[in-house]
Amino acid sequence: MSDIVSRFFQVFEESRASASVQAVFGPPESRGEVTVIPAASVRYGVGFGMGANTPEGTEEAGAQGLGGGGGAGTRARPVAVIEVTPTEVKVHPIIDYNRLVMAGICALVWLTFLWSGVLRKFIASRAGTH
Amino acid sequence: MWKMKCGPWRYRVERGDPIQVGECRLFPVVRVWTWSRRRASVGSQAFTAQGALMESLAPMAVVLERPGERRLIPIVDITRLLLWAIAGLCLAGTLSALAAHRALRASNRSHGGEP
Repeated sequence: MSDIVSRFFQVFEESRASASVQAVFGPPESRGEVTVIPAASVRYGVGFGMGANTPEGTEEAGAQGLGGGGGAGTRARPVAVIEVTPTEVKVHPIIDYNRLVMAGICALVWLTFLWSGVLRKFIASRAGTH
Repeated sequence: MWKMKCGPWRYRVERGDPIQVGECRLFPVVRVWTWSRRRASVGSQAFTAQGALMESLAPMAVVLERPGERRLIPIVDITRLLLWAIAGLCLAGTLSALAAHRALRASNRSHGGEP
């Protein structure tokens, strides 16, 4: 059993070592005198769990309980493009407008909800004092 | 290249192999955040093992080397910066709304109104 556990941890460490600079910086692409290198932000996650049980007095084959499971996910988002020409090197950032607009709308809705409550109380207190 | 560790969290900065483009040599620099946890217990009748790993890799800069020149070109993730700015504005707006709400309650109490 301890072999299985150590094998699991070995796979776990290997998956970790495989994440390197090559995952973030793509291969250079040349068009004429211009070469571009894409750069991305990469996130990933791996998880697993397993267990086995042999109740006392049930050592015969088939009486053992064994189970396990795992999962993994990854996400990559472009961050910038590096442009290399014979005279200069430029970094062009990539802006994700979709995410920004969505985050802006969410923030606006939340703040409107909060401040409308405060404003209602303020108007009510003014009406009460006059 | 550079490492830091705090509990299950690890931060490191790595420099990759150079990318040769004409006379230029570009060394990519990457920052890596890692969270990992693993656990195993082996008994006489049962054993369990769990493990989890999350890693975030992002470009930090490129080091440009060419004859007579060596400089660091930073790579800024503008989307991430703007998202943090929106989150900061949201937090500031929430805290100021709470402060205004408390101030209104306090003034209502002092004027003998509803609490």
